Amino acid sequence: MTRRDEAQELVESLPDDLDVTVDEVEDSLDQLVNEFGVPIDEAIRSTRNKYTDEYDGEVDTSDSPSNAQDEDYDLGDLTVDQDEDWMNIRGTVQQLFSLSESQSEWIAQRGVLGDDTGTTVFTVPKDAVEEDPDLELEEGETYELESVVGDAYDGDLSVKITKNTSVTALDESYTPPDNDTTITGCIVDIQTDSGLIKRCPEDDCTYIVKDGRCAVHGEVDGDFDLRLKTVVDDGVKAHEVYFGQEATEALTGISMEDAIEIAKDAMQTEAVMNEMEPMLVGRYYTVAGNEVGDYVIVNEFERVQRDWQTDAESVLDSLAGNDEVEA
Amino acid sequence: MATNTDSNTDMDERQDRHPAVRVFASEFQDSEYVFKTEDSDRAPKYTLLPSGQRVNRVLVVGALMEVQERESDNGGFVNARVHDGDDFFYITASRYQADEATALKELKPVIDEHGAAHVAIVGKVNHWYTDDDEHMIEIAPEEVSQVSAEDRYQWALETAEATRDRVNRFNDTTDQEIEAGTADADVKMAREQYDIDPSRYLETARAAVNGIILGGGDGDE
Repeated sequence: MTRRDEAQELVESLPDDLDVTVDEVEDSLDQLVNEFGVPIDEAIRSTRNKYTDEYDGEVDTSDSPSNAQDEDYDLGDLTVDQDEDWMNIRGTVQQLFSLSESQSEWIAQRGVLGDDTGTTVFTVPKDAVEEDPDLELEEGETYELESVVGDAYDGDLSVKITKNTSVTALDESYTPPDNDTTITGCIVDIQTDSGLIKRCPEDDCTYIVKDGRCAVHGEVDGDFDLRLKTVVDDGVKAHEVYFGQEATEALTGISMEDAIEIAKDAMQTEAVMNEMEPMLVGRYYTVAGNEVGDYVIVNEFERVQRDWQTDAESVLDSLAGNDEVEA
Repeated sequence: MATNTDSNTDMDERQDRHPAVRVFASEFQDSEYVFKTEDSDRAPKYTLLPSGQRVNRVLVVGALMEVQERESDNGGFVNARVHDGDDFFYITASRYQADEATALKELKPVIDEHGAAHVAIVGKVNHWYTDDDEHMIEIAPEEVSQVSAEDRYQWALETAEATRDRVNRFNDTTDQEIEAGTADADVKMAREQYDIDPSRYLETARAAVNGIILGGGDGDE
């Protein structure tokens, strides 16, 4: 494909009412590739972003939500190609994340939206909610979201709700497909704030209560929750793997009631983590779940159990094979 | 595997956790070359395996055979030896790894009673030289945990496979690929830094895997 073709293709992919010529785009691509030594893919991406950024600005000031040209997407079809694209999606809020202090400076909510085809992480910025409180989503509810914008990071696409997004509650519910990720590896670490934790009981607050205090609401009682943030290492990558309450209970054999009992006896919630950690670290598991942001959320897991004799013999064969090749 | 260098670069930029590389003791002991990819004091240190793989963190699952407490000017520390079915890993927990030192000490009675204990050790790599200028390599543990025979079998099988794949990659890399700069960066570095034919580590892998077959592989040791 010539530079001209690439420019032509890019212009066609931009919104029609954006006033861009093929010449202009070709110049921009040429400059990035020839003068700055940027690979062509990156040049196209960057040029597209430049025009769509300008375009977003126009929408912001026009005050007329012209969603007509936004495409409808199934969540399973979202890829990093939709970076900075405006689109319409629908789904059920599967989970709201707890936010770190620095995140909550600009984020009102972050969570997982799921439909029948997949899941995606969504972010609701604080300034958007301040302008329109209806933009705040509830866990377990289903919404139609018109005009959200794609945000690619680290190979994943998340979506951002903006002031221009229109949110409609739907009277239906979606369940995402079971598992999109399977990992076999060794649990090499359990991260802090695992085990028995307390969450702030205030509406829509997802903070963890530490020493009886929520970072936003001050002194609160807190509701107990049980979870494990683990690292499952397959020798090539250290995967962050999240066990929710049910999965944590099944993995450790320690129920929520047991955990509260352990914490009460020791007069500290960390005692639960201290009890669980030695059961898990160094053990091999196969986990299956959904990749959501940085984490794989576990649906199913099992201890690695193989026919050791047979598998050892076949590995041995593959080692002998190599030697013959060399000889 | 040609993208290996790129993914390693990305990893440094994003400060992702380094994976725990699987390697047998005999290859680990031959690994003397250490390097950094950035100049700062805090930049991660890598040890280069002779088969051509950079290592920041390792996972070892084997038989803990010996735990010794020692005193030094820098306070107490704990030495331990873990056998992988072929050779020994040396573990040293200093006062900076107090929890792991305690975990090792607590396994002493198990060794006294059964002769050994199945353990998993996750840790960083440490190098030092004796007064005779002999190179010593050991693991500074981040995690110490008693595990089952099955975990050991799984580790031995996947470490044998990882060793095999590294040795194959090393042997399949041509001089032309190295000159052209298309070879894996770690393989290239290993060719430059070591005078070792890594095929010898296949023998190590065979010994470890044979251990499973001889042991009955029923996980009931």
